[in-house]
Amino acid sequence: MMLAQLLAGMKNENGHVLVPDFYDGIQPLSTAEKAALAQAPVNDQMLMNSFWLGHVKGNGKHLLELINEPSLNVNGFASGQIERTQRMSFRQLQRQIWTCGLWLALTGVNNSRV
Amino acid sequence: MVGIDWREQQQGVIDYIRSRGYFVVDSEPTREIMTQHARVALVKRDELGYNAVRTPMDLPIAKEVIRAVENARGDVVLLPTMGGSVPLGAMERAAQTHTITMPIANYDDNQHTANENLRLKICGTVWERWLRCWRWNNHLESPIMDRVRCVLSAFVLTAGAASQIGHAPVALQSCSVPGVDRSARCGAIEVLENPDQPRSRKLEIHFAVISATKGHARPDPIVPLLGGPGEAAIETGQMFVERLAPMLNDRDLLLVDQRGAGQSGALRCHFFTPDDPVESLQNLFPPACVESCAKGLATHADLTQYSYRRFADDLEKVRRTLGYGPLNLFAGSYGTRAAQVFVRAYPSSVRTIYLGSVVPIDIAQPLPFAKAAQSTLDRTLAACDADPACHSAFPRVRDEFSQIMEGLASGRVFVKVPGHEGTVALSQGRVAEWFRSLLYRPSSAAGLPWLIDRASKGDWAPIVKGILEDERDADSGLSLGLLLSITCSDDVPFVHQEEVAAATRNTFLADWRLRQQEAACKLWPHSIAPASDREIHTKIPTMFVSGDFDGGTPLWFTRHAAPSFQNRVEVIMSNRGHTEWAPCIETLYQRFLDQGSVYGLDASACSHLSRPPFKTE
Repeated sequence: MMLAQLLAGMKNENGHVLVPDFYDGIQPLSTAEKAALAQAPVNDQMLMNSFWLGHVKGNGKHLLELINEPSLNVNGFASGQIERTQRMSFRQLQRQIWTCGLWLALTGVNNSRV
Repeated sequence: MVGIDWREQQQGVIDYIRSRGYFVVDSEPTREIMTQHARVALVKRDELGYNAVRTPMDLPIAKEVIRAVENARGDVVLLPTMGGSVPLGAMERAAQTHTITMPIANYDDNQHTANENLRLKICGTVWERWLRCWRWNNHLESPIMDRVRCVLSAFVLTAGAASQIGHAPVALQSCSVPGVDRSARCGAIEVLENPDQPRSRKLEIHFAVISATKGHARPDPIVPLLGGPGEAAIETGQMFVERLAPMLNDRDLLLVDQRGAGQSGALRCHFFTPDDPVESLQNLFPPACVESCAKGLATHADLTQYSYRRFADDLEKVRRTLGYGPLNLFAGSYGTRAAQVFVRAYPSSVRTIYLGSVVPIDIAQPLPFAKAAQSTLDRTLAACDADPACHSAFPRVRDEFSQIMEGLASGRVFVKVPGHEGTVALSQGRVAEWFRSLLYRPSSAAGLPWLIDRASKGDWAPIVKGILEDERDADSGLSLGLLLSITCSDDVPFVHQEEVAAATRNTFLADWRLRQQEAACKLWPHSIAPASDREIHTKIPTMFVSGDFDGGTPLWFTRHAAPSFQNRVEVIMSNRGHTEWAPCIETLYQRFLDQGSVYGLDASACSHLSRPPFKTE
């Protein structure tokens, strides 16, 4: 439970990362890049339909915008009881190793590899 | 994201965890830590991070690519490059240019999932067509984006016209490498002996490049990392040219003399005095010689600055100066330490790793020497017993061994030494240490039963001659000062005294070698390497090659080191010892290099080798 709380505290409900200074220093997009993004087709609704998603995070921004912002993903979450009971239990979590996809700080949707 | 430093980003998260009341550790917490802190978080940093890059969309070359693709298939979706994990940053550094990607992913980004829907044949076709499109700027008939379910995630055209990122070029001069008839180019870069002090003395790091035979070299040279410590790459070049000949058709061989060795400010010490070799029959590191060598070298070198960590920085500078991509490290013996340190420091500068007779980064030498030698001696004598010729020549070899060791221990063995009047007492430890060195390979251990037999009959001359010859060779071939600078900071301080008794009990070497080295290190200026440097974890493809008759780096070294290398093959050569080579290894290594992965390599390919015959007369 401690680990769950710790990790949950890193983002707000809209997916905005709450770790201090997380968004600092990002090099802004150039005019040409902004123009290209504005022209690119938006297929968020198609993706939501195909993945059966009724809601996505990002406070209304669409995927192409979000993908140009850093994010912090929890890639996995495990506890000592999983193998034995096939059920989640968070009793031993304070010593669990965890990793975030933050070396990438790239995407809102997918995992760490392109 | 461009502009964000990945390490700072990691640190930010760690700081956040701390701010939530956690005590943060980077390795398994001890009982004390767990009981003294209410909240403990174990955070392992992924050391393989890298910063994102972005290629400006309005570069002339970018516009050309856009035009070419538009000509081929009409409208193109343009997006800013996102980073990132292809990894574009590594490619930019390696090729010293910018990158433009043409992704052919499914609309659903399925290449990010376990099932990439990859259909190799279509990928190949697409590859080829894109290339054609690029090369001739032709119209393409085939629909690509909409139909093809190929998810070759991205291929990257390195746009050669873009700006250069690399270091200033270095002047290379044609030169010759001893014993190598192919032309070579040599050069040197200047580095600070102590980079933490801007006004530090300067060192020249010398290197030689033996160009690919076929002229057009791939960007990833093979870089031998030598052992000892104290061996030099350039003067050993011939051996690598011979061993690696088939691999050098399309790859350069890059020989870099490590700081403190060869042409890069060798830290030479002379522990052998030809006119008075008596000392060499008593000590491996004669204290008076160690002390005077340290004093002599200290007038022009800071002996604490000759670590593998510093060498890693130097090698990376050489790589960048020469504009090479990620390296194929070809390491043997202690050189495997150099490889591990380099991989830790510059993971993105390494393509493949060859670890011949690995020395684990976290096992302090020379503590395991005594047991490794004893076990190899036992197995060597057992092999002699099982060999009809050896057994009939030396049926009592074990008794003879005990007998000569007892004689030596009692101090009653006096020998004549060339150039010395009268006789000299032979030290048991020195003889044991020399026997140990013979046990590194079955080819040298093959003479051991004969030597034992001769000595038991009072003929010590072959042993005295062998010790003195090897000592002379070490003196001229090794930078013994570098050996001490490295082992006194990376190893000896990490030997736990409470483990010494158990590690040396019931062995013929006992703690002699360890105590010799400890005594030398007391006289040698050294720093103590940070304990955190003694870990490694990597996914870079790694080929371990070890011999199952190696009295120096026993097989358990490989078993111990291997799990830290996620993509690996462990090849064990039967009846072979330390850093050996064989045609089966050549075949495997060639394939390993070609494919840049361990996929399909047969770890048992060298398990058929037989033992060289014992010397019986």
